[in-house]
Amino acid sequence: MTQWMYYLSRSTGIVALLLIVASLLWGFLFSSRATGKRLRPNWWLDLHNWLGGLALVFTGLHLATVWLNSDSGIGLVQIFVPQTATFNAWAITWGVIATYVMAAAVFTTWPRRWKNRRWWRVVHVSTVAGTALAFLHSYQSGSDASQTWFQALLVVAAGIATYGLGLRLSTLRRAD
Amino acid sequence: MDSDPLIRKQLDAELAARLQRVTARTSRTTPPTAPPTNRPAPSARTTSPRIASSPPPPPPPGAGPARKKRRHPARHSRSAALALSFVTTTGLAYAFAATNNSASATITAPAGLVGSSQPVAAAATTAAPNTTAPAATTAPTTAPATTAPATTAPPATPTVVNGASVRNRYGNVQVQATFAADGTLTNVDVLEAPSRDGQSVQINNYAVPRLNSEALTAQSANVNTISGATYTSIGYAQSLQSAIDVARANGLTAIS
Repeated sequence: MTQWMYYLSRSTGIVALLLIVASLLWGFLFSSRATGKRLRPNWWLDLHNWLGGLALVFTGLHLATVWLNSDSGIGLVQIFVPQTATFNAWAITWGVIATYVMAAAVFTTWPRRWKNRRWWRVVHVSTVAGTALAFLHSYQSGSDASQTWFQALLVVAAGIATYGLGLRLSTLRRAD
Repeated sequence: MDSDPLIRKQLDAELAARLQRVTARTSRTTPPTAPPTNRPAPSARTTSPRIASSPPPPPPPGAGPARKKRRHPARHSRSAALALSFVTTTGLAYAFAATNNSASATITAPAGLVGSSQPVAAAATTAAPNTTAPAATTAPTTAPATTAPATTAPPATPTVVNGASVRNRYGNVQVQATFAADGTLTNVDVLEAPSRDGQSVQINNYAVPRLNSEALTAQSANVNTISGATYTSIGYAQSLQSAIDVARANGLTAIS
């Protein structure tokens, strides 16, 4: 049981990271109006929202399986309070902060978007930093961080996220 | 407005014909079970009894035919993303389980007896499986070799057996197991563990006591992989298993 929790904590963490990147990309494509003509913009927005929520769900599963893995040495305090882990303290701290950022982005949009658009935007933009922290967390504390396939996955995912960010920034400049 | 009644009648007739055309078109595009809507009251111009009894007027100009609003335009993609996420999670978990069972580790030094107060068969030092290097027995054995280790009398005092040194990508892992006179595993010490950087030391400081505790509780090398110390855990289990194999081959223990 404990061993399976260990495997599941790794797999849910990886899937959560991929969902975060996918949600980020969909958001960038939508906000930079680079969605093409085949699908309507509301399709992109709908999937972006869904992927963001799904990423948070899988992050929750990741936390639950880490907690249920009695060998992980991570309890509820370590999950919610940064810098309380006995080892890999910084790596786990990045994950805790990233989780808070993602949760804030999701819950300021769902079930109803914040009326204060400016603050909603600040929270939403902070997910870029949250994604970077999630990458750092997976690279520093992941059991698979030394594996070539995982490093390649991180590079590809980071490349996709950077492409989306670049696209969004280029449209910002055009708007100016 | 005092207009000619003839003109007014003609206008009403035109309006009525137009309304009928629009109504017919709307009824083709709207399901018959559509819920009733609050339509605007007939305008003052449509005052003829014929028009008043006709179906309600269409929506304002510019509005298309009534269409059911799609709540989730990407609902199929949502389902696909959900299914893909769960399938990937399950697949990865199974892949991790499979690779954990066949983790690559190399035995760089075989297991061997270290010593006990009782003479132990020398043949025990060559009993470790998968050995690639010469025997690592550090304590001299005084009894003559025997080909039947099972018949060797177990020692009355604890016996120490070194496990094989197992190399992984971070360094070597080697344990030393102590067996009591009754064959139980009483202690496990880690002789060697990856320590090339501070993080490895930190991880081992956390993982090794847990592995020791698990091994003593389980009385076997079947220990769970410690999160964040995967390679150390695997090396630990393999090294301990080799020590147990040597001890069993010498009749020191019955555990497997």
